[in-house]
Amino acid sequence: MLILACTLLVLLLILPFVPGTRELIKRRDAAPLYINIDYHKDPRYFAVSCKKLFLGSLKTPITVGEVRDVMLSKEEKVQIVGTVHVPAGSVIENILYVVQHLESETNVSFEKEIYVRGTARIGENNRLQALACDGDIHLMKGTKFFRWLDAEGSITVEGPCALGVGATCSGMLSLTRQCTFMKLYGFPVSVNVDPALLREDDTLGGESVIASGSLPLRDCSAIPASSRLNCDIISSKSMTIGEHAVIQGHIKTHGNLAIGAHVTIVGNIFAEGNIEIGLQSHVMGTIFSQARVLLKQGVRVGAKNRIKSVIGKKSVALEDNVIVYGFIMTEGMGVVV
Amino acid sequence: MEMVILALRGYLLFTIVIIVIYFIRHYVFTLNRLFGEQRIYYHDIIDSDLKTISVLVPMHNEEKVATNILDLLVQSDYSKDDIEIIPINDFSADKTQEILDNYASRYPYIKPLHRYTGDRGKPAALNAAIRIATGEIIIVFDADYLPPKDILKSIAVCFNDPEVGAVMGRVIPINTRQNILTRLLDLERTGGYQVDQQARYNLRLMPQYGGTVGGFRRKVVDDLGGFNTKILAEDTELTYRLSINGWKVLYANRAECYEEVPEKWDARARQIRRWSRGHNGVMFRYCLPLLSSPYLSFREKIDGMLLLQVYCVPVILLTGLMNSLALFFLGEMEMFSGVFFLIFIGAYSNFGNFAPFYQVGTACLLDGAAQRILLLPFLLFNFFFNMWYITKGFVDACIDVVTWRKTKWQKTERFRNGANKESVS
Repeated sequence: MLILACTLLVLLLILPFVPGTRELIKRRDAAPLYINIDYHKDPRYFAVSCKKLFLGSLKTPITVGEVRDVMLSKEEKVQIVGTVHVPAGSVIENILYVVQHLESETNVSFEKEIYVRGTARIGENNRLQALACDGDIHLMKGTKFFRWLDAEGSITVEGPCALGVGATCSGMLSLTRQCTFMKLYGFPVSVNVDPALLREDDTLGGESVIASGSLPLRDCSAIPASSRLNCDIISSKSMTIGEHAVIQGHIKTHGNLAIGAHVTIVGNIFAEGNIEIGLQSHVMGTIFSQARVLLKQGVRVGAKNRIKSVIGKKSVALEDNVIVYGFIMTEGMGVVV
Repeated sequence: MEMVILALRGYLLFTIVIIVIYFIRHYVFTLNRLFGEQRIYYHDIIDSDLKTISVLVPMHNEEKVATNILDLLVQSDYSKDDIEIIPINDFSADKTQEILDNYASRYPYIKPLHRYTGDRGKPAALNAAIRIATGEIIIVFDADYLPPKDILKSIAVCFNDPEVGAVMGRVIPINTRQNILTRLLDLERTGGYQVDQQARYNLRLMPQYGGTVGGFRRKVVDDLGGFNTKILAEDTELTYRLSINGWKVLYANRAECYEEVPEKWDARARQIRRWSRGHNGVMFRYCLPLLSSPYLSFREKIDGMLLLQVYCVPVILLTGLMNSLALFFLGEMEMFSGVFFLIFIGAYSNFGNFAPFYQVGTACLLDGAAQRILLLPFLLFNFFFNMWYITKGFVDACIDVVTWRKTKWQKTERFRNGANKESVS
């Protein structure tokens, strides 16, 4: 009995180490966690990667009209076309490689990715997965992307559209009301903008200087209207900034931040709470919130030839005439209101 | 005799209270990572106007690894107009100086600093380099690290937040395949970064600057008097000095970088003993300043205190274990019966090392590395090993405080047995 009990005790002591010993011998998970040493952040990564796959798979001479089996992420059928006009109500099941231009009528459903070497004009109420385009993209109302779209030129959205997880381009990205998005990248991203608004930076205005120096202004809950500050502002609570104020410095609040109309901020804005930027205000730096961001009518972020970001974890809402030079991102709902 | 038994009982209760407090702390962190709200990372920000940076790489006899890190830093995607790389040759007697001069002749932004006079050691070397650095931000890597192309941007962009004084990235061991020690250290690091540091970032507590794969504002650290050369844990000291002066330390989980962990138990013993000595030295100095800082919230102070005591807990545990043995042989262990006994056992088994088993397991799951969870029981050996050497480090720190003796920097031995960029591709 004693021998049995001792054997049982030894077995129970050894038992927890058996699976680990097996892993030590077999080394199924012994490799270091993977880091891509060559990773370089690119907001247009999806399109760059997709085009690389396409061009790599279509190295041999192509013929317009052929359907070729190519190895993308898996073996796929790619339909090669010249200029194509897709009639209303069509369902395109293959991947499309469009050598020239793409135009679609209403209610077309593209089930797979599309790579257009010319321009793309997508009709009303289309359904698309992903669209990479070497020219400009023009979207009519009601179009829905399930993944992403990218253009080497510009993207123009004529009506309410769902832009998937990302709409990126190297030119201007023009949106209209009720568009939804998660990531946007353009120079600039704009909403119903009057071209006259795409002007150079404002000169700084403002009146009395209420704070200036290398030390930050701490725990201030309100900056009066028309103030001028030349320092960083750090607040452990919510804060408001009155209209026509000019702040040359960065702002950080641990609560919400409400900025009035016609305010100029020459710096970055960070908040743990919601950020609301008032009418016609101009922020020269990045806007980052762990909650929501609302850019009211006429707000401008960044400047020409600079890249800045507007990031709101829970949502980003853009009103008419907003202009953002660079990147907009949210993990929640991005919407033009 | 009754007084002795009473004291022993009191100490045992104290030990259990401490363990339960840390158990709750780590449980909260683990639950946060599994079910809590995750704050988004600053590295999602794309900004064309990043600050100028100086990358400091302290090196003492680093001929085995110097070229690896310099080759990778040269490939960084940070604008070369905004960067200077200062490898610090700290009293090297091997070919380190020759290697650095060779790189300097090829890349104008590599500006080696050769030190053969003054104090030796990382804090003194960093102070010397900070004095000649011109970047607004200082980013530090140890010589055995392998920084990815984008990591400088990922760290530098965090300083767009005006409240951030220092940023810490994530360290990932590269030489995990070597032996059981490297695999256990990998588990420890995984739990420490993927759950512990990230949860502290999520909960707006006090993430720790770890002295490498991280950066700080040059002017701020310069204004605060640079690094204290009498303290071995200059990183922990900077964390507290910044925090009590109103600056935040930010953890950037996506700023990942490979490091080489010790492959021999004696090298690990020296490393953990040095960490314990340094960290406990900081604990002796910063408890009161932390509690009296006007810039920290109540929960930041609590977390700061628990972090400050973290190298003290294994000492309390070891003495608690000895204490419980004494009570057992004195026949006084009946105080722990029923529910209390369960708490006693539960508390002991819950506290692994710096990261309990549930925290390490969760971290492995989050990293998608489920098979290595099977190694968790082996952490028991690491636990007793660490407990012993941390206790020795604690004694060293106590002697430092009493005698005011001068601390001597001990470099961790490098191995580089195939642990380079190619070994993970």
